[in-house]
Amino acid sequence: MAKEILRPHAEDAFAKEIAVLKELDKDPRPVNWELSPRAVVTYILGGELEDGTNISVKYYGNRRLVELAVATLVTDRALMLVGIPGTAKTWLSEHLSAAISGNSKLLVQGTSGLSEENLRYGWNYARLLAEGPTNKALVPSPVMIAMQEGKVARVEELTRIPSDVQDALITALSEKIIPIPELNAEVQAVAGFNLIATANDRDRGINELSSALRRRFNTVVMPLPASLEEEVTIVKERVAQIGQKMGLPEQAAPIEEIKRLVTIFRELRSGKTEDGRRKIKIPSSTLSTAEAISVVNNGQALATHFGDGVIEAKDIAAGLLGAVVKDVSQDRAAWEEYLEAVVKDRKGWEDIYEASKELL
Amino acid sequence: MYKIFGIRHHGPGSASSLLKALHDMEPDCILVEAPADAEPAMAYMLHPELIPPVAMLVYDDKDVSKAAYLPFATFSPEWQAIQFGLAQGSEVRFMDLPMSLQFKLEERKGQLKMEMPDEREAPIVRDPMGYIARLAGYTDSERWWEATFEQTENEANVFEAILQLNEALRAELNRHETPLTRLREAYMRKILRKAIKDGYEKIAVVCGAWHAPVLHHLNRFTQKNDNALLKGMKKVKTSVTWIPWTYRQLAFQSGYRSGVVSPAWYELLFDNRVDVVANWMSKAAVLLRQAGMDASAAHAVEATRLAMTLAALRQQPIPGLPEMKEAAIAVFCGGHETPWQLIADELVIGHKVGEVPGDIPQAALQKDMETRIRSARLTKFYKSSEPQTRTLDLRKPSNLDASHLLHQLRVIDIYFGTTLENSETELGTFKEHWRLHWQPDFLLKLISAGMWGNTVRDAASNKLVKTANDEIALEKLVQLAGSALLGGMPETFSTLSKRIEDAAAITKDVYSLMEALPTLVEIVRYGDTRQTDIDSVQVLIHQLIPRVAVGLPGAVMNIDEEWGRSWFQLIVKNNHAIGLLNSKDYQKKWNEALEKLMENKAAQPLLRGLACRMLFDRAILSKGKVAREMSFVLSDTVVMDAALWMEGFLYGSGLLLVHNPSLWYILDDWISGIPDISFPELLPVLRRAFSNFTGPERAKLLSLTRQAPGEMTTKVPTTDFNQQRAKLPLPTLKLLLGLE
Repeated sequence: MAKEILRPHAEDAFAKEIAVLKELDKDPRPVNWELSPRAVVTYILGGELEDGTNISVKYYGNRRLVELAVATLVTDRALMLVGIPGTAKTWLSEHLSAAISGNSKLLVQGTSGLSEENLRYGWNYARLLAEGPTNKALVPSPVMIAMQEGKVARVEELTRIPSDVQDALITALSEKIIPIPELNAEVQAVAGFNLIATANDRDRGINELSSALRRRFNTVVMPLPASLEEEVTIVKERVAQIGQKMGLPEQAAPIEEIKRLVTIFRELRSGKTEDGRRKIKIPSSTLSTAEAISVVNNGQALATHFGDGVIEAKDIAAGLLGAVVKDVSQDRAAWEEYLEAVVKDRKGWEDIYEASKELL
Repeated sequence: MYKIFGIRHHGPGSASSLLKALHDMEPDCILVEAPADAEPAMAYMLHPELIPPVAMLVYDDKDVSKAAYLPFATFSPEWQAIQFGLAQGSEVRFMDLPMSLQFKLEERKGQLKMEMPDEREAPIVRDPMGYIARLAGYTDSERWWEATFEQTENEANVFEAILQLNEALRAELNRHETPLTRLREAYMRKILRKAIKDGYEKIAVVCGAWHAPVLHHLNRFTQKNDNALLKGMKKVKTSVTWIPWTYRQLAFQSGYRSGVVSPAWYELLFDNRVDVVANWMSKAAVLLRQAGMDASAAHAVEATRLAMTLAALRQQPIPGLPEMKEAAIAVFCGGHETPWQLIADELVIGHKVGEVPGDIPQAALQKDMETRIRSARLTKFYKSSEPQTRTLDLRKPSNLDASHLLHQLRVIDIYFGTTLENSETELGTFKEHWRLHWQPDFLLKLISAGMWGNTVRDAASNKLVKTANDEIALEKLVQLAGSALLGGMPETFSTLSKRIEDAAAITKDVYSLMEALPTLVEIVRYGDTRQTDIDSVQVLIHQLIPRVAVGLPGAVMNIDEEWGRSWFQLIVKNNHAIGLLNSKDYQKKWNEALEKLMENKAAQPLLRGLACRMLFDRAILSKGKVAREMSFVLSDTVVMDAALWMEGFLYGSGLLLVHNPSLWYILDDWISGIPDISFPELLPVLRRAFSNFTGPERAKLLSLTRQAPGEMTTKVPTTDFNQQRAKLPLPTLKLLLGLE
């Protein structure tokens, strides 16, 4: 039995769609791009092609925003996606690089322990000791590979990387070279090279970009879903996709349950009820759409393995508590207040109120 | 021979195409779509001091509230056409139905008339080219114009195409034109026929694109029918003048041709359409730098490139305003819209203000204001560039007029006068102290206030009524009512008191009712001095007091100290206000409310103490009762609550304690009984309670603490009392108190 990959890369999972788009694509392509900019936009936002192929929706939301992101990558400026966690920054950056370069694997995950080697190049020390500095001893970073091959590199969580390390990107982005003084050589970027960075503007203790580096990026702020309907759709679709992979039965996601959950998330996030009549305390947790998705998934798993397979309030409540209460002292009070002030009196919400109270 | 040039009002693309076409045609007569009776204003069009944006103001001589504004910017095709014609020495005529007829036609009582004829037309008629552009998928119709017409080689073809487009559009919509549009088109044809008859050989007709077909096919309409339509129309006498206009008004104000969303952008388009994107981005960089943000020339280059790419991606030949904005935000502002807001105004709308030569007659509202300034004897302040103060005695009619005028001007946002402090609070007095300072930009505000009316009083009262109708907050409405009275505009009062009544009726919030009450009381008292009709306010107060009295004790339950302090101020104010009303009935209701509040155990202790004190001051509670209440409260196990009660009770003055030893001992006992552990916690509250007292009061209280119980009654010194000397001031005191 062939091993099943838990999460295939975007370019593999949607290989068929990319192939069809490529075939039908008549617009001019920038050098080294797999698709034309317009086709990239179609790939991201979905739609039906002229031959009837249905392209699935990768990103729900503002079309103008996606166009702006793609246009940025056409110019040689790098793209920075900024937003709170769970606004599909990484998701969009993966799909953009898959559609443009056919390769979303040139990835650097930003952490506070990252060193310059991960952004430029490192050395194979055994070789370095044996042969001295040679091309063979050089270990290129994903960014360097992207430059050599004219592809899109991705840097996740750029603001988590220490500032002095971040600045290693400046030459790569402005001069489009990475000098290798040890070999008295340099790597020059091939047309098609670009970089997508994501950054989180919610967390404390991030390393602000230096203005020199900031200037190399065009920034696109990723918004939270604008309306309840939009968010419910996102949660529903994603839950279905993930559920398949986890071997959960293919039952339709309970739309009412999702709607309730998303309503709770939106209300706690915005600090007021959907009808705008009531003020609510805002908990410290992020409560993004991604969290809503995982709560539903969690509930689905609970229902399948421990319940009768139908998601009920109690299955949701457990995940909900975990998602909302991140800081026990503050969030717990906010959550309790919300339950008492809003959930309790809402018609048809008795079950979720009961289930949540039980867990507190 | 005549040729129709269908244009887009305020369209820079139209304007440049038109200019080129006129150069090619070299007409000997130009007819422009503008009211025929505005023609006298043309005399100033070549005046070097007339700098756009400016507007022609046509108004009814007898009733200045009927007026129409015709704004022009440099990029308005009409402006360019007239300038071109006058400079070439060709005949220029206005061909639209005169406002003198339109005013008569539109005689509707009490309505503000300032709109241009096109205002009443459907959007598609007003801006058919914009409509087609939107059909073609353009969000920016100027970009559509550029893409569609700029590339054509022969300029004449542009207007040919527009003519055909509109002919098709009119046929397709097959819409019944409004009677007014039919009249206007008949009139335009009449003027065109006359120009032909006068022997002009090359006539250029500049009109809104929508009207192009019905002028082009002149032969489809008979002179007889047109004349029959126009026959027997009555007219009024009108005057026309120039006034300075602003880009802001061009962008936002209602009431004339098609709206221009982005005058500054249009100006740039008209002046320099080749490098417009780069120009615009450079300007953005400069503005951002001025606002203290990093924006280099390199940024501008990148933003320009991004805008271009974005346009290409959206299959538009050139970036439009939306692309420019998105690119600028992504490159300059780090994706955030906030910094953009700082410069958007300047970049999109612009702060340009037009200029009008001094020798041109003025606008109606300005005329009225100047007349009133003269009669109120404020001319010297009006002419002065330095601020000066003036005290008005409201018992003198001319001073009262001046006060009304100044308050009315404030309502229409012209702060010619600012009342100096204490006159605001002394509403009941006859004096008002003003600081007067006229600033030149008030003139613009005056012009924009023209939309509210053509006399200062009308404008102010119309604006008040409109604001009141849009306002739902009780507190704001009460403020408006205050302004109405200060400005002596009782005509607004029926609306205002109705609105206040509505707002008061729906509000369940005792707090806002209590915020309103003191102001209403001030108004009533003040109205007496000003001989203004205030019955409706009195009725309102009559309704409000019982509601406040009923609601208050319940409203202050279970509230924290901080919120309690806001209530504290409010109760003090209301207590004062109700006292001023001098009505036994109101006072009784209020006292009952205070009693309930005092006895309500769940109410904030601070307020309970205050209520107790107020009742004691008014002798509703006897000393004995107060002592009982006080010892009961101070026996509370929660010492903090007791301390707060004390603070409320001691509000204002500590003499109470000096003169009532029984109360003093209760307090003394209580303080001695506070456990050491709670004392530091209470100290701030106690300190606050006592710190408001005057120095002598505190000294007296201190001396009391040194005395043993029982000594206190003998405290008043009786020895060394010289009867003779004590009698000496008595006659003077009697005189002062009016006892003789």
